[in-house]
Order: sequence, then C-alpha cells, then structure tokens
Amino acid sequence: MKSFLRALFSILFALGLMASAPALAKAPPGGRPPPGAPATVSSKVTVDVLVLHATNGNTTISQQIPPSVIKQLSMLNFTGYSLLQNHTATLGLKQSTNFTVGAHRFELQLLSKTVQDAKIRVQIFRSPGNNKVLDTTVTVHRNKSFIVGGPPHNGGNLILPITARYPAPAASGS
Amino acid sequence: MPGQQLEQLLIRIRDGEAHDGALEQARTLLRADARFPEELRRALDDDDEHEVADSAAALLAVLGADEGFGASLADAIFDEAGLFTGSPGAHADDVANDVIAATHPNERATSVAHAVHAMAGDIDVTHEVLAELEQHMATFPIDAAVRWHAGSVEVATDVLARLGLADELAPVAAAVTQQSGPVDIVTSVLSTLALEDVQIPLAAAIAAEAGEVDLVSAVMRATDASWVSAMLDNELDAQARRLATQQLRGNREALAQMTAFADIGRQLRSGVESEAGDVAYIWPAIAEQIGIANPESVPGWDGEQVAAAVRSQAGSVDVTTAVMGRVLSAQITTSDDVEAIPVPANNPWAPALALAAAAMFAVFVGAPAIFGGGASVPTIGDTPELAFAQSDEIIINDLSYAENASVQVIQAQGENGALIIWVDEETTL
Repeated sequence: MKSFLRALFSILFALGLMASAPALAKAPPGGRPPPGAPATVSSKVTVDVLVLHATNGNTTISQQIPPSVIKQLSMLNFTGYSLLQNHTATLGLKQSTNFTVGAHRFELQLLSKTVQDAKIRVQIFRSPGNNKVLDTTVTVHRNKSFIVGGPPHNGGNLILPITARYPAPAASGS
Repeated sequence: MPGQQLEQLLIRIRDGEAHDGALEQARTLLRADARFPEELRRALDDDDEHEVADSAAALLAVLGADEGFGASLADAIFDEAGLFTGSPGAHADDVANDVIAATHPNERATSVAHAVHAMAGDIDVTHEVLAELEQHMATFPIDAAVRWHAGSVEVATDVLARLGLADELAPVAAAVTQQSGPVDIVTSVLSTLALEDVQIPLAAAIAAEAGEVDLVSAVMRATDASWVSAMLDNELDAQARRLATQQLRGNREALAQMTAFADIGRQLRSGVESEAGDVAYIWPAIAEQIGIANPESVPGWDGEQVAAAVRSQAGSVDVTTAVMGRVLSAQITTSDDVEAIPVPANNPWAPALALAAAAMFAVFVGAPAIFGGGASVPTIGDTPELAFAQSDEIIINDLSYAENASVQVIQAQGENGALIIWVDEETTL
C-alpha cells in the first residue's frame, strides 16, 4: 500500500512540475525570495485591488464587501454592489501588475516607495483597440486606500478600491 | 510878667512901632516897676516922639536887654544909686545871682540843678535807668548774660522766670543739653523742661553708646526657622543673606532645617515624576508651553523635542525610548530574529507530504500561469476592512484621460471620506 501511494504522488508531482514550469519560470514578480536568501529590507509594496460592480438594477449588497467601502460609496447613489475580484500583487520598484474585467484592462505599477507612502500608477485600457481611458499617478500613505471607478460594465460601473500594503519583513529561508 | 511886657513895649517904642495905647501902657508899667529908680520912672512922660524913643532905649539899656553895655550900665547905675551893702565881693555875687535870676529865670533853674547835682555827690539812678531800659530791651541779651553767668540750670530757670523770659527756655535747654553730658541726663532734663518734642538724635546717641548689637541672632532666634526657608528660597536681600550665612556656620539646628527643606524639594520632584503618567496625557500641556498651537498637528515633529519638554516638566523621566519605540514601530526594519520554520524530523511522511504540496501548488498556480490572468489568485471572502487615505495622506501626482472622457476627483462624504477618481467614458480613442 505504501509503495502504491508513493508511486501515485510521484506521478502527480511529475505532472505538476510539467504544468507549472512556465509559471515557475515566470515567477510572480515580487514573490518570496528563494530559500536561503538573507533577510533584507523589503522594498516591495503589496497592491490590493477590490473589483466591485455597482448597479442600480438591484439592491443586493454583497456581504463580502467591507462595510467601510459601502459607506464611502454612498454618495454615488448605487443600490447594489457585488464583488467581482480581489486582485493582490506584491510589486517591486517599477514592477507592474494587470488584470482584466470585461472590456477593461487595469494596470498598476509601483513607481516609488518610501517609508511613509508609495507612488502607484493606475492605467485603464478599454477594448477593442486597447485604448487608454485613464492614466493617473497617486502617492498614497502606507496601508491606506483610494478609489478609482467609473468604467461601465454590465449595465453598471466598475469601482476599484486600491490599497498599498506594506508587507511584514521577509522571513529568511529555513 | 510885667517886667517882660515892659521890655517888649520899650522895644516897640524905641523902634517907632508902638501904638498910642502901647505908650500909655508902658508909662503905667514903668511908674510901678521897682527895678528903676524913682527918677527914671517918668522918663516916658515926654510928648516928643523922638525923646520918648530915646528914653525907651535908655531904659532897655538899664534892663540889659539891649546890645549895649547892659551889665556895665547896670553896675554903673547901681554904683551911683548907692544900693549896695556888705563886702564888695559878696555883695557883687548876690547881686549877680539876683540879677541873673531876675533876668534869666530858666537858665537860673538849670544852673541851679547843675550846681546842686555837682554839690550833691553820687545819686543812685541805676534802678530808674534799668527800669527805663527794660521797656526798650527787645533784644537785650539778658538771657545770654544769664546763661553765661548762670552756672546751674536752676539759677538759669529762676533768673529767666523772674525776668519773664520763659519763652527763651528752649535755647537754655539746648545749652543745658550741650553741657549735660550723659544721655540719661538729657532725657530727664528734657522731661523736666517739658521739651519732649525737641528733636534730639537719641537713637544715634544710644547707638553710639550701645556699641555693636547682635540684633541678627536675637531676631532670628525669635522668628524660628522661617528665615532658613527664606534663605533657601533666595528670598533674603544681600545684607540679610550675609548675616544669615554667618549665623548658619555655627547653627547646627538651622543647617539641619535647611537639609530637611532640600529633601522636601526632592520628594516633591520624584512625586511629580511618578504622577506624570503617560506622555500622551501631558503632551497637550507641553505642546502649548513650547509654542505649538495645535498639539494634534506638529509640523516637523521631533521626538527629541518632546522628550526634552517632558523632562523639563517631569524631571528625569526617560520617555525617549518609549516614545521613539512607538514612533518607529511602524517602520520597515530589518529583522534578524525571524522564527525559523520548524522542520519535522524523523517523519516518514514528510517527503510524501512535500510532494503533495508541490503538486497542489502546480495545479493551482501553474494552470493560471498557462492560461493567463492575474499574477495572483482572486480570493473572494475574508476581505479586510479598508482604511482610506485622508486628504493629507494622498496626492494625485499626475492625471490624464481620453479626449472624450471626463474625470472627477471626489472626496466622499463623512469624517474619513475617501478620495474617488471617477472617470466617465463617452467614447474611446
């Protein structure tokens, strides 16, 4: 029995390695340093993006959306909010992350970082044509959030609360 | 007097100035005048005016009232008349005096007084003279003379009182005091003289006599330890402090008292330190004291400044470490004391579990990497609360948008309103 299990794990491992080779080759930017690397002062920022869909077609407010967010959006006069995505990326200097929601592509880039705040560039592109709709650079206090919204989506609008999180010091390898 | 009247009439008749009544009156007086012999008493009876004038002149000559040889003529007449009796010398003097007395009555009185005085000898007129002088001696220095010769106060007083010079007593008293000598005599004399209001430097006299008086010790002994406290608090003036210092040198009790006061000060300070409490509670008071208007907003905040201000208030209170520790806690720092991930030992399943984890990683990470998507796994659920940046925590460095789009930068309502960048798409490029 034991020998069978061991063989099964080995096969799965081999398949996994084959599938994840590209992902591993393109390690997520800002990922954890390889084991054995000495602990260093983190120069990275984790960018958290909530992708919300705001509409007046219903009055449903997703429970997954933090109440603090709903409170900030009250002035927009939408009746229903749903959480489409929670995008998180740890970025080093000049590194960027992007994701797509419907016809819009969002790209966020860490331009600079200090102890107190981080400068983040937010670009919104719309398809077809990958036309740039918005290009803004914001310097935001560490662990604080701001909101970019407005792109139309499914009869409503997309709203993106963006947070620049300063991660805890990286652990050293075992 | 008839004699004088006759002379006056004779003078007028001689000078031709007499009226008719004057001649007749003269004739009458002449006939009765015993000074002339019988034969001359009818000399004015002639009717001739000139003859009458000449007769008047002659009669005047007999009387000696003229400028002529009256006395000699009188002598001659009397020689011829044979009226003299006695010795020629004595008889001449008596006649002379009689004649002089008859012809010069006033002179006769003065001469008599002089003659009498000359013969009477010394007459005691001192009393009368002095009495007269007293009436006019406004500045007569009797008191000065009395003082010079008085010898004793009693005599001076008696003399001055008898002389009615009581108002002059003050100078006498001054003279007495000057001569009196010892201070105690001054007092008794002044009281006897009822001169209490006289300004005499008694205090200076006492000081001169008393010598150095150790008043400091006496006063300080009388005022207990309050002077020690005053000295400790630097409340004594320079002179008092100097004297107090001298007293302290040999005063163990005072020195102990000063030590006790100093200990009280230290106890107070330590009590303040222990009661100072959290820095946060005293920060508003300190901020105001160091000139910061808004304690909640400190431009260019400097922890050292705060620590220095706290120390100045609370004494030796080390808040630097505690405060700066709070300030620096949020900073990203290197950490060398990271917990090591425990490595299971002697676990036969360890390799298998590791392979399983790797397989799961490959499935869930590798697949999305192949088929595209975000660099992270979208997680729905467990979304943490967000803290939105306030106006002083966010800056829009740059903003551009499509030609057909519009952008609004909005701050949400509420106490902690978030910054919202809202893009309204109309057309795209």
